[in-house]
Amino acid sequence: MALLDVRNLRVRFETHHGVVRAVDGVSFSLEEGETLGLVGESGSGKSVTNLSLMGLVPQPPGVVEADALTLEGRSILEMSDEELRRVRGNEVSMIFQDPMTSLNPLLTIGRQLTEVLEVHERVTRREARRRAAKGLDDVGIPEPEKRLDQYPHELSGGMRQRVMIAMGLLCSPKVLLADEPTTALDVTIQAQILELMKSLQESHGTAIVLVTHDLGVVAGMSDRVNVMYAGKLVETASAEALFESPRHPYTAGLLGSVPRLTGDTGAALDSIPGSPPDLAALPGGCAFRPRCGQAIDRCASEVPPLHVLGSSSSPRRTACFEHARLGGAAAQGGDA
Amino acid sequence: MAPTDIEGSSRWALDEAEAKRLQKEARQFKGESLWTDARRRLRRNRTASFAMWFLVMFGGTSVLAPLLPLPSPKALSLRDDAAPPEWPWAEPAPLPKPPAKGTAATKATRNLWNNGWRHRTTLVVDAADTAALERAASWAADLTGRAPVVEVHAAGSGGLEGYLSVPMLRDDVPRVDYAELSDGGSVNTWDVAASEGRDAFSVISLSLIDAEGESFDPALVSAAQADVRGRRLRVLLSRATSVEGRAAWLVEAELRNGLAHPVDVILVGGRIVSEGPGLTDAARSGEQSARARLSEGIEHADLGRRAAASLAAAPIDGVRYAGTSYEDGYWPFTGLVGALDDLLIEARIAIFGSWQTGNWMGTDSKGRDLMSRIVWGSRTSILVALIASACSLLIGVLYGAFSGFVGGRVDNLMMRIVDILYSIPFIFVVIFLITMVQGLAEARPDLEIDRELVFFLVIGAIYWLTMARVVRGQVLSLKNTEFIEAARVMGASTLRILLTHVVPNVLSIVIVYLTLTIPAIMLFEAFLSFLGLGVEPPKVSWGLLAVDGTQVINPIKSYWWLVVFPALAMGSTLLALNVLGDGLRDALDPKMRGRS
Repeated sequence: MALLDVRNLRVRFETHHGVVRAVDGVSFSLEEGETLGLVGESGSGKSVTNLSLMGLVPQPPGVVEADALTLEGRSILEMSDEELRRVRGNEVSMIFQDPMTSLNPLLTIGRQLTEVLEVHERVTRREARRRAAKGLDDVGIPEPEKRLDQYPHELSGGMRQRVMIAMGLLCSPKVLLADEPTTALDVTIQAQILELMKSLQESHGTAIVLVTHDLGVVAGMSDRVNVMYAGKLVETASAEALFESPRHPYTAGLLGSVPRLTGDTGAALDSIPGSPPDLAALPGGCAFRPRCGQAIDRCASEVPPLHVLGSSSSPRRTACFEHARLGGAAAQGGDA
Repeated sequence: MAPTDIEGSSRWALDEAEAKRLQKEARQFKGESLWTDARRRLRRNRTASFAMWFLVMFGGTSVLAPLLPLPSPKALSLRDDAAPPEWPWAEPAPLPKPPAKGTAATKATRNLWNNGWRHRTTLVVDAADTAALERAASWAADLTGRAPVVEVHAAGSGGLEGYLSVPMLRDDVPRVDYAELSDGGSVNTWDVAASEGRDAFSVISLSLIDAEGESFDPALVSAAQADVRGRRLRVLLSRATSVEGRAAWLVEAELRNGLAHPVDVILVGGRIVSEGPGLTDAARSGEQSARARLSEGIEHADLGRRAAASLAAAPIDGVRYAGTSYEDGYWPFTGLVGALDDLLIEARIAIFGSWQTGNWMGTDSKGRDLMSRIVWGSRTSILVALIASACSLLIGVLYGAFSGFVGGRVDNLMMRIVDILYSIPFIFVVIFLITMVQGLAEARPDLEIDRELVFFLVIGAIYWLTMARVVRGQVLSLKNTEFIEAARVMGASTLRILLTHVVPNVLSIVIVYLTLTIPAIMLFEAFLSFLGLGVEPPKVSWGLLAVDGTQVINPIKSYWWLVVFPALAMGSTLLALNVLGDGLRDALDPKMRGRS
């Protein structure tokens, strides 16, 4: 049984401007020790997917529905508030994008770290402190004892993100949801943090859901990648297969807009024309059609289903009628 | 016990070492909370800690006012001009001798001896010499259980005139016999002590339930009259509520006809409706004093009667009882403050005796000591600031936090209410509320509405609006910060998030805002008292001191001390509060750690 099983997850927000379908029919599953990348532009539903895994979508205005949303066979949707609290931080925890604001500026690092343990485990203060120091040591913070008595503003951004990771891993959760964990950091620190997450994953056996719009991060970290657009999964494949031959014009477009070190470094970057659609007023048919260079008539009238492709050992799916044609075109880099 | 356990001495030593090591470790483990850190940083901020010390000293001085050897803040003297400040070492102006008894000036001049204690009974004795006076003092101590403060003046006949002033506690005050009438009314009977050449006499106060006077049965009064411990009944008082709506002569006739014994004077609702043939000047003055005591709620005269009886039974050699007088030094506080004051007065008498300061800051145009008035006035002002800000803190923080945290439509509604309240001019609200309360207090005296407390609460009820907005804004911005989200993701409950993450973040701003609200409240109180809406004379507050100051502004003579000293007290307190608020803001911000 999969650690985390999501089938046909739908999240909508009922606002004054109409119903916003932030997530629409997303399915995936996560095994122990696996890393799943969630890729997409801003507003494509990555973060909302993550929040609904924690039961943190504000209701109302949000409405979360799914055929199945289970953690080790237990349905997250049916949990009471109390049960959810016990899961959060303990079995599923989360790392936020901006380490500058996700620590309480008035509490010491130690106080905030030990709080996790106080909430979930009956430990003495001394024991909690020892484990907090160990946690900081694990994420490579020097002099962890001293850091415990410092306030967040006394640490650098990379340090704070390490603290956040330590906080996320303190209770040895089974799933770690990383919501753009490296976006706010500079490139060298990014590499260190990713390296750290990878090694911690190996030692703890934690499954990671990595939300990002940075394809480079996904390529380095993920086993499998889900590409989202306008609340829908448009392509899912193993990282290698995806980067080798994207089968959806949006994926191809994303890959095309990554700067490369080879070839003409002076040339302008490719970009996807247009802008992401308004989720409250999606066009009929394929949501990506207005920006797609490969669109055919059928795209305007029908919503493309997820076609299953590839072998059973490395399954991949894509939501494009023209995936077969793309298979050849995208090998050259895709210029949708 | 196993034998291995007996040879445990080395093991104990080991454990001790272990314990020491653990203790040392534990000490190192001690983290620093936000508050200890803030306290340390505040202490290091010299201006702010000086301001704090100043406030503590000033507040302490006014709280301890009954302990200080200050003159009475309400004692008038017959001056026609305000006296300028005098140096502490200057020879105090000699107190004039009390003029002949019984004249109109007596009351005012006697206040010169009033040294600011609360209720005080002075036994006046004529003594042959100092030794006799000492005997009289020990007699008074035996009689009252409290050490009297003795003042001596030379009497005209070559002897001594001794004033044995016995401080009375609040519990001593009402010595009224109380009788319940059969159909719901009640009769209070008490004795007015023999004093100043007068005989002792009794007073009956009637309180009848029926407003139409149906139950105003003279037979009942006669029944009560029969039980006045064999004394001659000379004054009959009836409280206002009992016979309103009936002609005075009718009441009088009923009383006259119905009473078994004739009385000298009948008072209905504080007015004399009848004077009997036996009414003498002494009785009239007794009636007036009884009425004054009745209106002030002070119905104490028991000590004089006891003193006279005691001396009559066992005369002391060389001592002649000359009378009793009663004075109240300052307005009494009730409840906890009153109980504290009683203790402080005892301490004052033990420490200072009858010594008191001169007019170091001058007097006002009615001869009241300005320094004493500033100290007692700041007591009122500090009290209003504390009560009103506590009130605004309670309402404002709860309202704002609830509104901000719940959000949505509730928040919208609650904030619109605040907007509406904001648009009403405060001064009208205050006038309206205070008028209402005053009307209610007059209509229902049994509710015992403390007008001043209501005044304080009204101010607090107005100042919560801004506090609610500030807190709501803070909570709103906090609610959406990532660390609150992170705490929720971590599995913390709503209550825990509120207590450990939201409240400390809001509190620092609330505290800082509070230190700015308190001066505003003090100024508002001064403003309202200035207009005559707040504290009423003879009580004093900073606003009333300002009134006194403005009344003497004229181009001919400068009464600078009436403006400068109250302004200094008020200004320095407000400045200190502002400085402290600034210091607190820095101290409560951990980002300033290690910088100041």
